[in-house]
Amino acid sequence: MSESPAPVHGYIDVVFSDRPQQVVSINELPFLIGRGRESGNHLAIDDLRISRKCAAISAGPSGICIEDRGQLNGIFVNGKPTSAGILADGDRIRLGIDDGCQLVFRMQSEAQTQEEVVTKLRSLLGSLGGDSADDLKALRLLLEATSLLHSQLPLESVLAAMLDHAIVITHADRGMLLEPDASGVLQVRVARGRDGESFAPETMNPSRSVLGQAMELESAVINEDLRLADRNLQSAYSVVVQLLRSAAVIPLYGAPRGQASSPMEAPRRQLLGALYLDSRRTTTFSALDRQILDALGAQAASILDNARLLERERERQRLEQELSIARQIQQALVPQGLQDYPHLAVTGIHRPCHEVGGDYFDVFTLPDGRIAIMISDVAGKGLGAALLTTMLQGALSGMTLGVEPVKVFYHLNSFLCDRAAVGRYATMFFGLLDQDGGLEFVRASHPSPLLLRRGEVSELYSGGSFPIGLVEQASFKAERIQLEPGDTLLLYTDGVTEAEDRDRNLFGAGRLKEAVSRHKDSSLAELQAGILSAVERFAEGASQSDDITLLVVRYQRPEDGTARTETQSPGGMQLPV
Amino acid sequence: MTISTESMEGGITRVLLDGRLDIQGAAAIDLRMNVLAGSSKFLLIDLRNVSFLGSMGLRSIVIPAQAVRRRGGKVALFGPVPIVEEVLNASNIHEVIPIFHDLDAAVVALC
Repeated sequence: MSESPAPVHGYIDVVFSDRPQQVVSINELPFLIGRGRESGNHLAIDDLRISRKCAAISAGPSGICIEDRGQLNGIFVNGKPTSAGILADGDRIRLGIDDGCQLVFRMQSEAQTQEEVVTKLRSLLGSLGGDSADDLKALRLLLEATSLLHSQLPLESVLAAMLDHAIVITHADRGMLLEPDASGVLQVRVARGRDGESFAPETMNPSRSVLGQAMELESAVINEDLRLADRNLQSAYSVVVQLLRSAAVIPLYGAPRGQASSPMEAPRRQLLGALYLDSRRTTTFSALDRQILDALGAQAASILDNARLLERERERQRLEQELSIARQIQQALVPQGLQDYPHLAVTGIHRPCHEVGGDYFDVFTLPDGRIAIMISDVAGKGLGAALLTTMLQGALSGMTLGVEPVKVFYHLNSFLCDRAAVGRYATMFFGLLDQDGGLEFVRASHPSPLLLRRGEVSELYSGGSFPIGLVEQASFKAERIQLEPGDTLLLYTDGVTEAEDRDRNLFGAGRLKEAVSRHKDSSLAELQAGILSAVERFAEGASQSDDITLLVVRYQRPEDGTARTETQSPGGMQLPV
Repeated sequence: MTISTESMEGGITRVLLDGRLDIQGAAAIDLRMNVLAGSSKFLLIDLRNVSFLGSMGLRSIVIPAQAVRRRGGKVALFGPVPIVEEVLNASNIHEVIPIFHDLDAAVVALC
């Protein structure tokens, strides 16, 4: 506030159409408004239609000004388009769009602020019918409770503090906060005594009948003397057992969310819980003002409501973090910066449609000098499929210890069939290329790699084969072909051929072959890029519904001095933005 | 994706699948298929109205079929359209579960 001409207390009411209003203090000038916090915004609005740098409030020579910093469709002050202008208390600011949130600018000088608080206090005290020290104390506590809303304390402490305040304000013996459990029954979550002690929630036995009455009336209920109350309450077991004399129950409702189904019908309020206060003295709550109870209820509801939002947000963040760890691990497991081998040039790409994917490829050298090239596609998508790719990769890396590929396929198949609850299986192509161009391969229902030889495109094989982990009686066999120097093999997953356009037509093997043959003289990187762009052009912006993975290898005889050395683009995973 | 069943002569349960057997389709029929696998001896899976068979969809057919076979029952697939049959053949499923385009032949094979 140092730049502002006079000490002012400015804040902004952020009015949403679908959730409670927020109040944001202007503690620093210029005060930046926009989407997200990354651009240094003081008021971050979570709405994709709001520009990252939307508007700024700053101190001008003649007062506090607002300035458009690049909001699409401009900003409006009291309905008028404004690129820059002075703000007055109560001005309504709209940011580009009609149905987003509305900002209301509030400004008071410090002196005015204090004066107003005193006036408000006096008028409130007046309405309470006296100016006793007790009432003043009650109000102070209420204000303190309000400030708890913005505190960073753990939720349990906030709830306990709120109960402590409620106990002091109402002179109750005990205070409890109840929340509905999964079946909707109110259960004690926090319980406190008048000396600030905590009680174990499960030992509490609030009067269910008084609670029920408050829920039914949807309003605060005070029972001055439970013994004299109506017969239903009088006979209530818990009241008799505990010899309670009086209780106050305030149901807590969240702000209505969403639209009412019809204009005649008010949106249903969501029950968040209840505040339950009781005392062994009959007249404890008799002098209690209705306004204080309502204010307490509103505060408690607001604290609970915010706490729930916060909990959900934390849970969402935690899941997001876990997923990002999974993604990092998957990224780290695929070959990074694919290198060329003396007799093999390599490039590859894995583009999962979710954060993590069920496709994977690998290239590694065996002790005998042969190079393993493999590609696999696990059924399903996302984290479930990604977990299995990791296990497959681990198992196949065992081949560097000299195990036959076919044996590994059989082993993996029975391993997965024995654990049917895993619920996943995989298609796979595994090849071993020796220095002389001999390619031994095992396939498991994976689409045949395409062979590009002297401009002609063909398939290595046709006909079916069993996938890994679907059928226990599956059999696998090793096959063999001879590659010629300059031969290129394209390994791919069905995310390529099953890429769909907007009318759900498939890209198909035919278009893939065409794309490959168009690049018969290209480098591997160009070939790969050409295929990807052919798929993208075909999809015309339709969203990618499966992982897309390509692995391109070109055999070159090591002693052949004329064999071109490929300059490689970095391989590895490419992840969606 | 919808699934319905009808009883045929000879204690055969005919399962009629209708729609796309993609990830969502598979999720929609999995439970019913598992229940059927546990209660049927002869299962005729009618695929005529399945327009797409994805990898998870394939699993939704094969796993229950294998369960029936393990209990000594029989399973036949009936009437897949060409792109669905292609998927079945690419996975060698026809070597484990017979595929028929003639209903009578399928019934004879099951009894």
